[in-house]
Amino acid sequence: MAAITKCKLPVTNLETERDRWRNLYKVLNEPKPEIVPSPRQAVWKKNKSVLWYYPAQEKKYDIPLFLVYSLLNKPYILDISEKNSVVGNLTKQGYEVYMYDWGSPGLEDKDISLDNYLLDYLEMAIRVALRHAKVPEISLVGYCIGGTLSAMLTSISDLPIKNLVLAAVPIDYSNFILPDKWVKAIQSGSMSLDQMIDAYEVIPSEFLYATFLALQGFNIGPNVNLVTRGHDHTYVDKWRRMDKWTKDAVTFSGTAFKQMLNDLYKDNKLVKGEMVIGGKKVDLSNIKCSLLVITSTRDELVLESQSLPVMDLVRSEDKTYQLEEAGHVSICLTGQFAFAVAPWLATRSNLN
Amino acid sequence: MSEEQTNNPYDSFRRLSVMWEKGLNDILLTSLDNKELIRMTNLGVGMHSRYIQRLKRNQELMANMMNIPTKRDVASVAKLTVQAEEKVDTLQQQIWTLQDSFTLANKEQQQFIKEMMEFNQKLNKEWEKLSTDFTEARKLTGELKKLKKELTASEEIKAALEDVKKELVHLRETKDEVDQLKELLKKEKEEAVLITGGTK
Repeated sequence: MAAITKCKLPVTNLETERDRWRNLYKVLNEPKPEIVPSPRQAVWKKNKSVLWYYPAQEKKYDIPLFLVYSLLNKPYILDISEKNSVVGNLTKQGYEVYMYDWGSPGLEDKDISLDNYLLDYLEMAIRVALRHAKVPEISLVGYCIGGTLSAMLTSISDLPIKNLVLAAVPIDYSNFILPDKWVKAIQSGSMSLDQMIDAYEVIPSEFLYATFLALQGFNIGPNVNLVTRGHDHTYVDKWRRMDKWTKDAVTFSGTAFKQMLNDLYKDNKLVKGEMVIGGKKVDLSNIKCSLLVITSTRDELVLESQSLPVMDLVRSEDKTYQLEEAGHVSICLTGQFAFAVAPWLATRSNLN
Repeated sequence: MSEEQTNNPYDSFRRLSVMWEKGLNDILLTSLDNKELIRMTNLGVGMHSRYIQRLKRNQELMANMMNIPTKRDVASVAKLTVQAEEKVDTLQQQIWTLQDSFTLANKEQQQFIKEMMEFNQKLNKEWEKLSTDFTEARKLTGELKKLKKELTASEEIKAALEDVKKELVHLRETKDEVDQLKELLKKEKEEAVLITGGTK
């Protein structure tokens, strides 16, 4: 017997509708929300970069965490709101956290290369953190390009890295999210941005924002979600914070951008073991510390196949691969990242 | 059997938009995956780059003529600050190295002092032990002296005894002699008696 489905017309809840349209009006007309960071202290500054220290609410572990975010975006996505802050949730769990903010380069920084970023900035920042925390070892947590840089630095330096966490990390550039013909054109050199990079000297934030938008295609989902869930104040607040972060792009040093495009996207030197930083060959097999690699199921910016090869390239005996039910940005936006790394780190961070 | 379902227009709108988004993205991806478009983009990037370069050159030229600083001039000054910062960083690293060396030297010194103190304590203990031994040795020496004295005294006694012995021997000899004399006297008396008797 066939089921008879009776469709009822929706009963309009006036209160819900009022909240929805009021929130939408707010989004369109009010200034973007102010992001209040977790309690922190600037430990070291160099050029535009800042090393932030977030003390643990109740210190539980001896080994502090050092977070390295992507060079392409601002790192406050890791500390976006009190409830969903990755940093905040880590400090609540008893970790002392250091986060490195690369800053947004100006014209005077056009010659900063990846070598400089790694050896003069990141390595120095980690040394400062070690000295500040008065500890012999530290856990390095790299996200996206920050993960690529963390892996590179771990393999070429003598820094006492106890644990290395790489999340949504692009290591293998033999395939990336662009259409096949574009990937081939970039890899063969028939599509090059060198001339444009030389002309701009420092890549404008608008260019990076436009690239980010282009990579997402018709990304109407977030706007539709805003309308359909507009009555939910918590969701709207989260949406506004994410919207602010997405549009708050950074500039990028031309030299580093060119090096990244040519060495990584074009020649895939990292996987081939041909990448040279500061005169040293970047050999990922030099990584012997404990390693955790995290990828997300709905990551549309960094493919799983780009992260996985690192598992075979390193020589760590203690290595773990973890797949999280999240997206590239949402894993940080929701604070899920803190809960994804915490259990693994807890057993490797020397309980106080 | 019948089911009642309330239509939520927002849910339908969301589902529809997800479908549309996916469809449009597929179309976009297919249309973008095009060699001609890549060639055109490359051409456009080249033209745009040349335009930006010319614009910057002209901007510099104009600024030079009007004698006003450009962003490049400001950047040059900012670079000096960065260089100064780098020098401070180098100095900081050197200070750290020095601090580490001092800490290490301090540790070594402390270790040395600790060892010295331990050695001193050991020496002290040995000294105390030695002084106890020395006191005992002194006591023993005293006793020995006393013994020696006693021994000397006993030797004197021995000598006296020997003297006595000698005198005794001498006395015994004298006694023997007396005895002999007595014997002789007795014999003489007897002989005298005999002689007297014979003569009578």
